Amino acid sequence: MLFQTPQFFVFLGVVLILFYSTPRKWRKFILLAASYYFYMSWIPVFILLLLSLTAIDYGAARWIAHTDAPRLRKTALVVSLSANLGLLGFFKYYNFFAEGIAQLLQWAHLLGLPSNAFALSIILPLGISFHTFQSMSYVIDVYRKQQEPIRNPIDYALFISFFPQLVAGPIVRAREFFGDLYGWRKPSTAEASQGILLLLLGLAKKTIMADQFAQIANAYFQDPAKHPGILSAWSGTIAFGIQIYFDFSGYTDMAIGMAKLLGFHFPINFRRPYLASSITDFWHRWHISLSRWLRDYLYIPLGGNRGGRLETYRNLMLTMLLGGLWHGASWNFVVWGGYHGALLSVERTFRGRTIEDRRTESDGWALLYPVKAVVTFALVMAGWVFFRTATFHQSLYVLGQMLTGSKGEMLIPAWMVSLALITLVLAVIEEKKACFETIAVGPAWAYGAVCALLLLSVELVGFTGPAVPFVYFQF
Amino acid sequence: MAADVKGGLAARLIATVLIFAGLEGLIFHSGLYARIIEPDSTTGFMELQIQNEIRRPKPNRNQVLAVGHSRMALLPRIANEMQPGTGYTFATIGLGGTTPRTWFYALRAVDPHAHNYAAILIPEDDYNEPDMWEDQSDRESDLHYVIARLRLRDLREFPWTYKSADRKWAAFEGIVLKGTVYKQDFQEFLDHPLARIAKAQYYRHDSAGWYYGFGGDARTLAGLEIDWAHKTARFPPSVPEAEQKRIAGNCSRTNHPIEGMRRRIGCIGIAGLSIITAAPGPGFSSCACRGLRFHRRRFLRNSIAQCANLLDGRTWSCWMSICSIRWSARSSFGTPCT
Repeated sequence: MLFQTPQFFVFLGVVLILFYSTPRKWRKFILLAASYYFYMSWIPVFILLLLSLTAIDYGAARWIAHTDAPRLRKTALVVSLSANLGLLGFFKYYNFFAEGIAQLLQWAHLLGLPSNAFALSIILPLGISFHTFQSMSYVIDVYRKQQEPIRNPIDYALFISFFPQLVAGPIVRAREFFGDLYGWRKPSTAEASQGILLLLLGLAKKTIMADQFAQIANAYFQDPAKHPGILSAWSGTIAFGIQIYFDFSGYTDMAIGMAKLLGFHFPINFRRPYLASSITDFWHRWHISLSRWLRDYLYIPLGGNRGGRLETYRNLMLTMLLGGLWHGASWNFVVWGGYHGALLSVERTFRGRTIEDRRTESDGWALLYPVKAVVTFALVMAGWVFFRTATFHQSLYVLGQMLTGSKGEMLIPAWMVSLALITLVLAVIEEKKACFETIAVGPAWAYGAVCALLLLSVELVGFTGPAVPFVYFQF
Repeated sequence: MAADVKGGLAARLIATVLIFAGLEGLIFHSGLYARIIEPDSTTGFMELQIQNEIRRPKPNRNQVLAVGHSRMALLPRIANEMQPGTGYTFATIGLGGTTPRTWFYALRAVDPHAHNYAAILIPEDDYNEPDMWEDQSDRESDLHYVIARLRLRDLREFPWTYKSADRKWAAFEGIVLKGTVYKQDFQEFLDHPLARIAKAQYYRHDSAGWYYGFGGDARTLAGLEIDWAHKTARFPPSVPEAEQKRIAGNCSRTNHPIEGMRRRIGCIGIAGLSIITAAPGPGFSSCACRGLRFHRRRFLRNSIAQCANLLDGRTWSCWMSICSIRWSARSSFGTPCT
């Protein structure tokens, strides 16, 4: 059940009606039932996996809180982390490592095995990368005594399975979610207005921008050799860059909007990342909930920037490499992570050490912002090549074409270029003026006009064809 | 923040719905967008033919209108030149790949009060052709042909003329939200808006001349001999080589012959046809060729097969007696062009 389909909107409507028409004490049961129904609408049997992880993590957190013995606490933590990482590793990375081992044996002439000798036919359970990270953050927070263990297993099950963010985030912290659950209050008019506007905005981002540009990107990356040249390579890659951003941020907007309508508040996940003036700035704007997770549970525990420069670079590289691998079981994702880690390290080398230094630096360079934004955009786009191509060899080919190819052809039609430019202008306005808040609380006619225009745009410019799955569903 | 909000949620939702409905109505339901639609699209082609037929001067009621699919191909100029003494003036609306469902809406548009024409002709093929059976009652293209002519009150009947639930829903959605049907055309319009507007204007002003003045195709298949037993064809020298290859290829195909168009017409479905008979417009019941009257109740009671029988003989003979029909060279397996 994809968010942009009529079936999902019917489902959401039914959930909202049931939620608000029942007494408050029953509402969490309705949300839990709806979440499990949503999860099971894909492959029902995987509910057993979700239930098992929920039970293990709930039990582990209770155990950690119950005992003061450090060894027992650590054991409970290890059990929980092993269960989450073990299942994530099996479903997501088994074939990747199995292929690697087979190739290694082949290379060493130990066994004459084909590269798929140990491969299994594995289907990745829906949202496993997201709900395992959310579970782990909860158990680690309980271990660190930053979070009280949840007593009611229903509440905990809802935290893990809450349908707006179950499949692709944002990765919500336990204290944020339970703060809303236990202190629930009916959404105000402003919140409900924002929720509806976000739902429509997300739908528009997905169907107008992401799915339309996906057609160009898919056509190009299916066989880049068919479209040689600089212009083809850049337009195909930019099409993918636009697709992935609008796809993921569209999904997130819809998730945040739905949560608002149900009285929950999710953190923002994107803040116009393609307007970033550096790679560091980009990662402060892109998939913020994952960046925050990686920072708190990986980068800082590794030592963060508390050591010398070399340790900081090592920690950055490790965090980004693992962040890349989180996206998928392929060397291309590792290279993508490494590429960003390297860029972040280079930036850090030339950046001022203190916040004051950086502020002076940023004031001095303010006039050069457009140049910096364009360079950052180009670097991010070059990184997407690793992300999108099927093999490393193909990545090198596309990058080669981007730098030294012949002229090539423009793959993006004129109207889609205009569409991209219009969204760029809207993003710049939003960056400067924060119009979204103003519209959400503005007069009814202005709000209605914006919503009506969004609906009309979805109707007219939205992609025609079977619903396209969200890119991040595969992660 | 709640204190700063201007207007309640209900007011906001009502404003959204009203403004959206207003925009939808203004752009699509008023016919505004139909004026700039691509003339070479299904909707655009039908709109052009309808507009041309509406604008065509009709000094008296001795007008005969042929409405049909691509095989209709009645050329008004030839028909009018060949039979000047009949007193009838011929016109045609031929829409490739359409079914009676589409013809009804074309007729409703050109003659809403059923008093413009002395006779309405509809086609009936009576020859075998390759067995590519298709349930025409579910033909998606019909919706695209007629979209500009559908009104909200057509919600009562048009969607239900389709058989499958998907098509019914698409038709329902299309009538309410016409943009969902115009979507592809609109996206192409965005690519070259000025060129499109210029093209639409050009076709609107000039296409009537091309259409009514078209004198036919000089190409002929007269002299073509086909040995069906051996699946070979002998061509007259005037037939180009490419055309010979195409026809020879068609002849050599092994197809299971079906029972002519009778079966296919039968498969159109009673729903599409019943609209024609049940409508107040110029359907069969009021002014099909003189002497041919279908009684609505009887028609609706008849089985699909009986309906097809009825259509087959009478329409065809009536057709032949009234006018001289010139089938275009495109109907290569039909009656040789005369």
